[in-house]
Amino acid sequence: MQTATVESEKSRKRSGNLRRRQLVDRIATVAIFGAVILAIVPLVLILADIVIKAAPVMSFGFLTNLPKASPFSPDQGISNAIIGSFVMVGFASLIAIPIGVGAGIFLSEWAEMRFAWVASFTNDVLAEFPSIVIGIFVFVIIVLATHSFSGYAGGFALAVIMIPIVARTTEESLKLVPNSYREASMALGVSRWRTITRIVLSTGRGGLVTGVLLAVARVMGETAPLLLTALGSTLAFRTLSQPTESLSLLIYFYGTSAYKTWQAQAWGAALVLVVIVLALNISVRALTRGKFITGGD
Amino acid sequence: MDLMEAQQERMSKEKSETLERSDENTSSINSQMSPGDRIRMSSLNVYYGNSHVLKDLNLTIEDRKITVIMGPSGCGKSTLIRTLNRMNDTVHAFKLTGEIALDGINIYSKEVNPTLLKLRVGMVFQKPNPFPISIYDNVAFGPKIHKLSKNRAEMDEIVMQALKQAALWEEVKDRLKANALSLSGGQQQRLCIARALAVRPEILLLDEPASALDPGSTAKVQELMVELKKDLTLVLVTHNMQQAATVANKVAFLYNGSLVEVGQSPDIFENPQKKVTEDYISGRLT
Repeated sequence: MQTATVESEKSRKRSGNLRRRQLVDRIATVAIFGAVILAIVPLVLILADIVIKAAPVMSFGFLTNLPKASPFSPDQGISNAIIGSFVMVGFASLIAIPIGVGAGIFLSEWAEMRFAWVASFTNDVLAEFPSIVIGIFVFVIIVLATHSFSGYAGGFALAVIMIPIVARTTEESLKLVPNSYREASMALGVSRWRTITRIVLSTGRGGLVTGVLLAVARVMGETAPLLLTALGSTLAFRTLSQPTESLSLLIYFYGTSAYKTWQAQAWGAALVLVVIVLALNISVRALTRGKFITGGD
Repeated sequence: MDLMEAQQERMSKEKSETLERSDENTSSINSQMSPGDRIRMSSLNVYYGNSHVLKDLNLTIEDRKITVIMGPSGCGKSTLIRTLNRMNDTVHAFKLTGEIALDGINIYSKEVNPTLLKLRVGMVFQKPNPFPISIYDNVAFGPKIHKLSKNRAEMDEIVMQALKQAALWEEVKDRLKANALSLSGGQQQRLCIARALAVRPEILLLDEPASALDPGSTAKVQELMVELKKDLTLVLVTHNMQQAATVANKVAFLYNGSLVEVGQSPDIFENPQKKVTEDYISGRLT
């Protein structure tokens, strides 16, 4: 009799606990869903806002025409900013991808060296550097030295921002390549460098491409380092040795201007920039879907 | 057959590039070697930092025989086999004293290129590790890098020969373009053996090649090893007694980094001289 009571007591307690746990579980689930929605809401609001406000200025001419000196002239456009952005980011990529990938290979494949630890730490610090500081640095060493703001200076500043990102993602994607592949290749009498180029890089290339594209997307929207280096321009793009316009600079100057027409154009430029960055991110998704790293062991 | 000759020629050329010179110590070692020996380890000590992993080993590996190194886990078997083709060179704090002579030349002397050494002394690992590319490309990987063929037809021949030698040809001949990872574990391991054979090594090191395989695949790999010793010198590391007894010509029992006993198979299993060996063979020691 007594044992039965104890038993039921126990089971009641247990079911009480169970009910409480189920409740906690439900609350946690709801809270987490709520957090996700709160995180998505600003993105949706911003996107909607940009699209609505950009709609009035959007036209083919807006993408192909040049800015005009007067905010009231007809047929204004942002073509110089679009070209300037792509050329400066392209120039930055030419510098940053080889250096970043090379550094990433070193960090991954020579990780046992003490210097690799130092380099890795330095790389992390550089990656976290405020971009305006990089802008000032490039301003001092290039703009002051050449006595001119230029697209080269802007591209160089963007490259400094890209290098640590490319290096880190390269390192991480190469470290995912199983060590047994390296051993198998070395055991066939293949040198370390050839093992890297023929086996490690080709196996880890998915992650490598991802890193490069993400770095490109990241600097595409950078403004602060360009203010002090590329400066911006209302003229058609001719050469990187002159001040160069970018989408981000145009948004900054037009957005803070006193004229409604220019403010509207800033929204238009913002939409163009967002579409470019989104396209880069979507291509990363498409490239890495299901074939990031093939086969573990 | 032209191909074979070309390869032979290349090998001997590379051999002389790899292992020439050091005549001074050659003669001294040669005097200690009997004709059938390929590898001679003398007073071999290996350290990882402060830990003394291999202790004063003296062992010879005979030509076209299967030498089995057995012993409990952590006794230094893998370290020992990996020193034979210098796979340990990049291991942190690895240090070696004494000598390992291949055909009379110390493979740790400065004259020996550790990359080219691995062409002569190939290796198969514990876990099958094919590259995530096609079966054909796996086998062709080494020959391509070392330029063993002049054209596509020759390469096809090399790949086919290697796969036949590894007893895998019949199973994969219709799907050479398939990804190697689509093969079963046992097939993957035989593919790794084919890949190692494709660069025509003279000595093949096998580090517990069947420990990750099911019994059927294990039996196949064992049969294969016996077949291979017609052309190659094999060194096998295992802690599987049955396997050792099935394939071994010579058995070295390693315990705590020391060579306890070396003997011919099956003598060492039937009549172990040392207590530790007996304990291990009878399963009292793991």
